[in-house]
Amino acid sequence: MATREAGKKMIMLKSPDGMEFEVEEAVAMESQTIRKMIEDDCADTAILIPNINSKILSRVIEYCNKHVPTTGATGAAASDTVAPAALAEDLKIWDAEFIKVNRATRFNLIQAASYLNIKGLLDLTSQTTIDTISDNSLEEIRSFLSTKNDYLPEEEQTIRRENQWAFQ
Amino acid sequence: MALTAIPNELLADIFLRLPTPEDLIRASASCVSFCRLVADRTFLRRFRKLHPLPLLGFIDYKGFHPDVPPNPSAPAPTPQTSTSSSSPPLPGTGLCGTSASSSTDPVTPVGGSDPSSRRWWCATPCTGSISCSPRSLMT
Repeated sequence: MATREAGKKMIMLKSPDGMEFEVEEAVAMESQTIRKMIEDDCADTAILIPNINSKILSRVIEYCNKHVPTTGATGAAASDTVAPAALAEDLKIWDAEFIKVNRATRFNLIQAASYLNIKGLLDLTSQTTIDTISDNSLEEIRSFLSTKNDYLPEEEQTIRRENQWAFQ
Repeated sequence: MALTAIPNELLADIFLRLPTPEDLIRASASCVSFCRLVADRTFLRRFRKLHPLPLLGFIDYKGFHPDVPPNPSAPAPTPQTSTSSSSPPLPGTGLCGTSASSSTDPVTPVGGSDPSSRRWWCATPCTGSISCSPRSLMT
């Protein structure tokens, strides 16, 4: 339900497990998917976010809350006193703390960020996953990505032999 | 939940961020579906576009001039004499320049290979001392 509260338009987001989250329109519009819905006037009632459970959705909203551009009533005051560089540094530290979640949550966040089209969050979650892959051995990669080795032993040997330079 | 549960298009976007072809190969070797995704032509084209081949040097009438060390893509200091060596000067970067070390040999054979597409080519005619085959450049 879109209601007006203290001059700020609020948007209701609903997760498939029945939880409802009321967020400011500016925060919700961090998601390009929701922004489109709002711009097309499809957001009169609560917006149902399919495939994203309440636990993940609350994390996503937490991210959007932090990353919403500081142009609002409270944001303007903050950006006057804090230099943009310091603000960006602060956000970076916050991001690093935010992404300290288990693997399953991170993969869920990737999917949520992709569906809701939140570039910053998608970049953050994907990059964290990539950082676990790069410069690690095959066995470590498998455990990080929790993938099951479904190669036949001969197939894996062939891949290793043909691409030896990648396994040194 | 495993990463395999993520849709392929999204997975491709994640893999595109891998910094080097080595990482891509290792990631693709972790399971068959990743390999299928990474071996896809469209994906490889996108990966190449984001991670272009480094410049190894120039060829003119005097021969091959390798890139000089300050440049990040400069080859290893010791020139390779055989393409069948187990470690090419720039493993995985896709283009291996091979210069003959003896000054008596006027021809400097330069072989190039793209590990992702497994294609190779030879810029100058190969002499007997250098064996150029796709496999020998790869391994």
